[in-house]
Amino acid sequence: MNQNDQADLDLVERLKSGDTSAFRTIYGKYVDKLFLFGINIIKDEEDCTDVIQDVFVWLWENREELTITNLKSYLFAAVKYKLTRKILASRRREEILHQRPSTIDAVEDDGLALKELQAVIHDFIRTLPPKAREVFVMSRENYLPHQDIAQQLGISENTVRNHLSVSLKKLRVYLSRNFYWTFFLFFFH
Amino acid sequence: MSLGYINKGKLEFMKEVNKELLDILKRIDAGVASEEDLRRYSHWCDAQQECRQSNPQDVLDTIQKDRLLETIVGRAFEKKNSVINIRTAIAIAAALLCIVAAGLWFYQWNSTISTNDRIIAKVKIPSVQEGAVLIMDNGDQIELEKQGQGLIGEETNSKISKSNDSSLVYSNAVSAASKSPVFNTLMTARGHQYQLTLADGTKVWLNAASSLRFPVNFTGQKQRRVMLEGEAYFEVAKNAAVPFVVVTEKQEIKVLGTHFNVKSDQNASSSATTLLEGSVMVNNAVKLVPGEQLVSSNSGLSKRKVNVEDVIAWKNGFFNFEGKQIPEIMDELARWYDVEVRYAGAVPKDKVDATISRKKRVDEVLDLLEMTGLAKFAKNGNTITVTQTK
Repeated sequence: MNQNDQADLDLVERLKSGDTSAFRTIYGKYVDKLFLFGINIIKDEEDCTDVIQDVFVWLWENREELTITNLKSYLFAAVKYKLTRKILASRRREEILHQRPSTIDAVEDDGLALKELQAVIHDFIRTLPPKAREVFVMSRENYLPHQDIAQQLGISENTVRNHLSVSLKKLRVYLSRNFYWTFFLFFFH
Repeated sequence: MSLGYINKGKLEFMKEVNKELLDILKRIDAGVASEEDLRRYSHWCDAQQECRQSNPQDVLDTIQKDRLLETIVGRAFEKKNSVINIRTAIAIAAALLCIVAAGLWFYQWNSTISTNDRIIAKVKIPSVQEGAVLIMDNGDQIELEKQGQGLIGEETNSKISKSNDSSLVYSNAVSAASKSPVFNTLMTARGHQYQLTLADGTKVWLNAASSLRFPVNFTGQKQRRVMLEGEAYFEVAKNAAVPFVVVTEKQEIKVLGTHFNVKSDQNASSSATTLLEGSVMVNNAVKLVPGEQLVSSNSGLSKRKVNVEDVIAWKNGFFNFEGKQIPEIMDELARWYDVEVRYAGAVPKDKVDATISRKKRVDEVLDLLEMTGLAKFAKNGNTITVTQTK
């Protein structure tokens, strides 16, 4: 492990304990690299800024639950992951996907990048509220079409689609809904 | 776009790759990507970096970076803070209400107390020491063991009768719609179960160290809502127009008329609903069919097939320890016998298969469990110390 990795590990530890200055340090250290990485793919400043913003907000909100082994790779993986939706939603989608197509075939493994990308997706799912996660996991692990998930969970296909596409931010609001009962039970027990 | 004939082959090829990449992106976004998909997408992203142009617009200047950071901090920190504030506010409100309620109760209970005395109320969840207790809407507590059979009370249009040693029946005297529901709470001590028939005819078996809060009648209500802590088995009277809803800390179970078991563990970190008959909907999202159990815990939801007879063994007077680990078993023993459990060293992880009568003394149960060779148990007063056997 080199010195930088050690410094990053310390930053992650501080981040997890809620240290806002560690968060700012991480931002200052990586925002340029991440932005450049993103813009080389999506070629749009606004879209790229959105992605960077989402990644850092997500990093802070879920800091306690993330499984980060290498901060740098993890952040790049998070940018890659958050880019997928931006690319799919972009009006310039075809154009973006046309870039350098020849290297799409699997080449030599970059084990770390792949591992972190898997970790990011895993963390993303873990930090979803139960209902959205149920839909997400069913869709991911069982490769079920929306219709089947809707049927199994007794919800509409539209709801399934919403769960799979609504942003994480919106979903987190839902999470606080059941909070009331905790006090209700506590109070009247 | 006009393309020469020569490029047509290349165009076709690109279209294909394009389509393939598009599908990969869609799979990643939908959460159904394979490892190969991730590898290929990751490589494609990396490949874009090689053709990087030195475009000044591709770099954020200091002002842009600062502005972005402020936006991020605004979204991340402040949003979190406002959530905490609401929660804190609710917590403070609840605590204040508790203190006021406890204060009023204390005042009523001991009216001889001098008004100059400071009332110090501990905010603590009460627990039943012995038998079962019914808490009325006005806060009166009735020790059910001490009541004879027959009518034991009345509560807003409902008659409450004790039908035998361990069961209670609510019946509607008048079917006038009440404005707001009146709630009673039934609580059981360790080692005591109680059966309850609600005003709508629904039967509830309340396991030991559990509590159920329920409306004394359901007339004029859109839902039949009850709140459970601990474990109970429900046989819900059919009424398609008025769903029956069981609320635990982790789950909300909605049914129209069916048989099911709900168990929240002691520190309320998980809830399990098992369906025996009919159908139920948990948290408005997951539907169960008979024989299925849905477990909600901090790590998420999981659905599995279970042997329902094992799940409701408690109701029939047995401990069911089929395929259970020692900690789960000890939790149940602590709930039934009034004991605390400690672990000396490692917590045994292996699974046990056993069905034991609840009528046995705790020592007898521990002796049987020791025969599995997984652990040794030492009982000292009310404390059982578990030691893993190598």
